[in-house]
Amino acid sequence: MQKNILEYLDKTALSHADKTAFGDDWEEMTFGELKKDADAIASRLLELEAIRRPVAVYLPKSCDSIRSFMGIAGSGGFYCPVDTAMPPDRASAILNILKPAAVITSKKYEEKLNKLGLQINIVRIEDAKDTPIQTEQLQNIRERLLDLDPLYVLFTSGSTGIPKGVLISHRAVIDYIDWVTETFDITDKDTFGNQAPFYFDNSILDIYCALKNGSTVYIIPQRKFLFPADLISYLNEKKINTIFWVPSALCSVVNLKGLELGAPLFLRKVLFCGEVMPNKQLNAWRKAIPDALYANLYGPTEITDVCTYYIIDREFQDDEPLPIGIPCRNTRILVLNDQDKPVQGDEPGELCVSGTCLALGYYRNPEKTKEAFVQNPLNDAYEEKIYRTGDIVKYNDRGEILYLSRKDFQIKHMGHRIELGEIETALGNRPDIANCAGIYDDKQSMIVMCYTGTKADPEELVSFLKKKIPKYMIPDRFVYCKELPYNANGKIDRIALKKSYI
Amino acid sequence: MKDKILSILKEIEPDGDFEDSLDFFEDELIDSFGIITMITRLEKMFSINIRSEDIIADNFMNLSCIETLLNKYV
Repeated sequence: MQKNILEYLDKTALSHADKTAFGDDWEEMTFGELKKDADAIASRLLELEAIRRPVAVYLPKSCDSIRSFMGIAGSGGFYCPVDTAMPPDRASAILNILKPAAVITSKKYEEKLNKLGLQINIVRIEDAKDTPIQTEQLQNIRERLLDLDPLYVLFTSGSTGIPKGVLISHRAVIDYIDWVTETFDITDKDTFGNQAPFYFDNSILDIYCALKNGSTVYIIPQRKFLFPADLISYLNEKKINTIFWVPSALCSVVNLKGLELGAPLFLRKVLFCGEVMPNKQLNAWRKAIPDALYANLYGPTEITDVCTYYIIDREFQDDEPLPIGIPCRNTRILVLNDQDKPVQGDEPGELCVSGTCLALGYYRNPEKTKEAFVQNPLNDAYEEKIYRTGDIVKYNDRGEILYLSRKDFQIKHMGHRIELGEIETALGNRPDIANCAGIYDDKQSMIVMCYTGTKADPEELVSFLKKKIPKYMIPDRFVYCKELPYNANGKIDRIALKKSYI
Repeated sequence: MKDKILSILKEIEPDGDFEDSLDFFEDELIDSFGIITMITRLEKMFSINIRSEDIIADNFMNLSCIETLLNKYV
């Protein structure tokens, strides 16, 4: 039985020593090279005594990031990918919660990191790769570690403006990747085209399928996604046959008429996750590549990546909802109604998850952890945690789960999970804004911020927000209101707001 | 025509310096979602249907390129 994901790499470094493991804009790296570099970086981190401590990685998505992740795991710590494009305020907030033993970065990003003005140990990837390998010490550390020890922490949007760090163990990832491998028959013949950023949970599938099975992962350069012709060229050049993308990426290929020029030649497995996949665009892909396997995967970051799945096995009209399917093996799904009882028939309820896939919690945030990871209300005999997703779902006649809506104010915008509260908190910091509330226009995929106070120039508001929140959270429209509607509970009536705006 | 194109770009990215940029993508002025919006609105504004083979980076890189492309259709 495995207890550490590095056991995957130990094996593939021998069985697939000279095969490309990862390729990015700048280089290709074999499994053998990855192991060597990981051990070197782990050896460099030894003096920091980072066992069960976080080490942040402040690098663009690259082979260097992967080396860093594996190196950090080798030192007994857990990694945290931090987006280099994130506004400084947010990066600081994350690093202040994390209090990492070190931050791995490169010469190019060191200045940006220093500008945050935080007390952190900086480790340069360029130097770390050359550290002599301390095999015995690394062995000792490996022996001390448990499968329940943390592997990584990913920060997600927080409704009160403070990002939440989802902490995931080796055990959760091992279980997940076993399921992916078996369900989608992943082997070393699979060549992945990675789209997901490394701070986004979808990337876990790509990275660890490669490590376990000897598959190759090409990290698709961001700019290829701008124009389908470029993207499809790249997919063909690298002979990519397996993708796990966010629906927005699949949609933009269709919307920009990309499939009309000829579908990617080698694509055989199309998996997607992260938001609702519109059938119109899905059907365009199915028409272009009828023989591929298409699967809709669903799951919040708090359960590692995926907890339900639906392999598409029939036709769907454009306006029919696509199921999120059935539970993954070794995962339990409970759909609970308002009385915390299992739903009957097609009654809607909140989707709750239990199993090994559950995160260890939110890092250094016991309050939010207690709210979301609760005792299973159906179990009064022993401690059993479930994660309440906040997604409202129901069962169809076939016993498949259908997504209906959110319970709260979390939205998916262009594949990103966003708490409207995080945008509201940021905007509310402006002295001339009295009150604000965000709504999401699903039809036009737009974030709309309604605000009271002093009317401001949208350009100014955008500039202000750019310093506080990531680009993908910036509202598309600002609506100045004399006052916001309130409901009987004294809370902002967002339903009324949405009605009057849309 | 440049003004019409600019008005659409400014709608998408209010504080983007499109007039002076020679490469919108290198300068990170517009992302993939912006591109879809831009193309949809350009098609609507000029009552044209841009062919798939014309949807490439070279045709949308800066104001002059967009103008050249649109002149092919208008």
